[in-house]
Amino acid sequence: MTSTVQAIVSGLVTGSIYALMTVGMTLIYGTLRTLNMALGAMVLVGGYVSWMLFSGLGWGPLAGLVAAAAVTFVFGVLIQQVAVRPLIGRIGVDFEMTAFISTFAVAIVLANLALRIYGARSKAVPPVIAGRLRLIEGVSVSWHSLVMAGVAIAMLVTLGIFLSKTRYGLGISAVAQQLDAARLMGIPVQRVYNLTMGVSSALAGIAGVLLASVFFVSPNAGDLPLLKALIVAIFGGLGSVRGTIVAAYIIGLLEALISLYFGVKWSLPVLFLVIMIVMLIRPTGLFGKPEEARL
Amino acid sequence: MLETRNLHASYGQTRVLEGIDLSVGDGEVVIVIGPNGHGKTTLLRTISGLVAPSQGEVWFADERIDGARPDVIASNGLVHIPQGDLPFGDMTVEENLVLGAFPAAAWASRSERLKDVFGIFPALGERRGQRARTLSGGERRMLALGRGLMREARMLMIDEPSLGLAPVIVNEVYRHIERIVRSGVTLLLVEENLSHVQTFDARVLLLESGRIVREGSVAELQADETVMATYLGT
Repeated sequence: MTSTVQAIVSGLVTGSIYALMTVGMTLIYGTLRTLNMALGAMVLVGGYVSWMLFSGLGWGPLAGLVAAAAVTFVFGVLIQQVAVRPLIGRIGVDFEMTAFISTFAVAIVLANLALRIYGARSKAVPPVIAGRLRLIEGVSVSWHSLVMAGVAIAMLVTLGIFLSKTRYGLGISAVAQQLDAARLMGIPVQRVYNLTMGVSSALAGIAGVLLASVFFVSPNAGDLPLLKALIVAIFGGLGSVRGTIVAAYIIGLLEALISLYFGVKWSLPVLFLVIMIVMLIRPTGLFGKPEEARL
Repeated sequence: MLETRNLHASYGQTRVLEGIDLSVGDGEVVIVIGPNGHGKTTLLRTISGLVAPSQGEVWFADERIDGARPDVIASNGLVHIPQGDLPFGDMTVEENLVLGAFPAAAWASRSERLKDVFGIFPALGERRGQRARTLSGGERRMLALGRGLMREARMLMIDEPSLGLAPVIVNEVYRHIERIVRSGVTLLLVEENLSHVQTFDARVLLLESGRIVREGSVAELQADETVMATYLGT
């Protein structure tokens, strides 16, 4: 019983991180209609920014959050300008596929740059708050996990308000739902693309800082988060921000419960099995929409 | 206000516009009619920058706008209400309308304008929280018109406002358009035939195979039986 509660708690924490990663993927898929494979590299960049601030200046992870968000936002805009924008509107070229490959190339370049600059050895970053909180008898959660979930949820709520209440937030949804109408309303589409890539990358960068003190920072630190984000994306269907968040928590919980009952080694195989079943029954994913309407 | 000179446009190898010269004066109403598939919609889409012209010029308010980005053209006060309404389906009626005020100048006064639009189209006010995709065809058309009224228009372009609507609803839509016309707005209107615009004091252009082949008043074109029979099947 207590171990089940423990698994649910940790599932909710990892689910929050998955949501942070995959919501960005949903926004990019909604507006640009491609997958951004460089989001994992943003986890990496966020982690190294946090580590450099800590080891160089002695700043804690909270300062790292702000700095990493800013740096990865700029990275996102640069990736859009360098690796995605030149591919838009090319006649006879499948944009979705070429942008997928191009952002994947960016991810490989960044991971190898990290290897060159920082070396292969993992860097340790301390937790935001040390120690554990005892919830009930036999169930405890580290303060850092609570901060992780708290920051992730705060980010998701902020994103929700941004998308539904602000001028450019509504502009992102408009571009995702009806591109021509969005242009006729006077919405600058390229700026919306930049903003979407920047925001999504910043969310992944924040995830990178939060993960840094759990898993250490290394050149391949972005691989697993990207893989998990893709699993959530396929499972949820990238149809809406809300659907993606629900899917992220389902995957997080599923993973924790599988680890508890069958052992950690089974978590990925069972997740892949679940994905295969979802794909067979609902090819558009749990909350995916078959037609153009997204976000 | 608007002028096109020798305007050409094509989709890939298919030439759609083959040298359009038209002008719309300040406060004037110009109606483009013609059979379907002869370039009326492409003409509007080329003017508003959604389609890049292959040749020719577009001038709007003394500025050359061919090759400009559609959002820049729209922010300059050219309001294009597109064929098929193109609503933001998963957003509410209110969000759709608010997006009509996206340009910075309009954004500041969006709440007042929203009130005005709800005054003109009370049905939209009643459904302000409803998703646009759940609206009826007539309501969607009102939403498209309302979205176009959310910002300062120096000129309006409306593409086939009667398309796909029941006759009763078409009459209602045109009552609104007539009211907009009476307010003195410059208007370029596209229709398939003249039946809905008989009362308009307007210049009519007949567009056929990407060219303007006939020009006159509403009454003149209606009186010309060969035009009506050949091009419009009436």
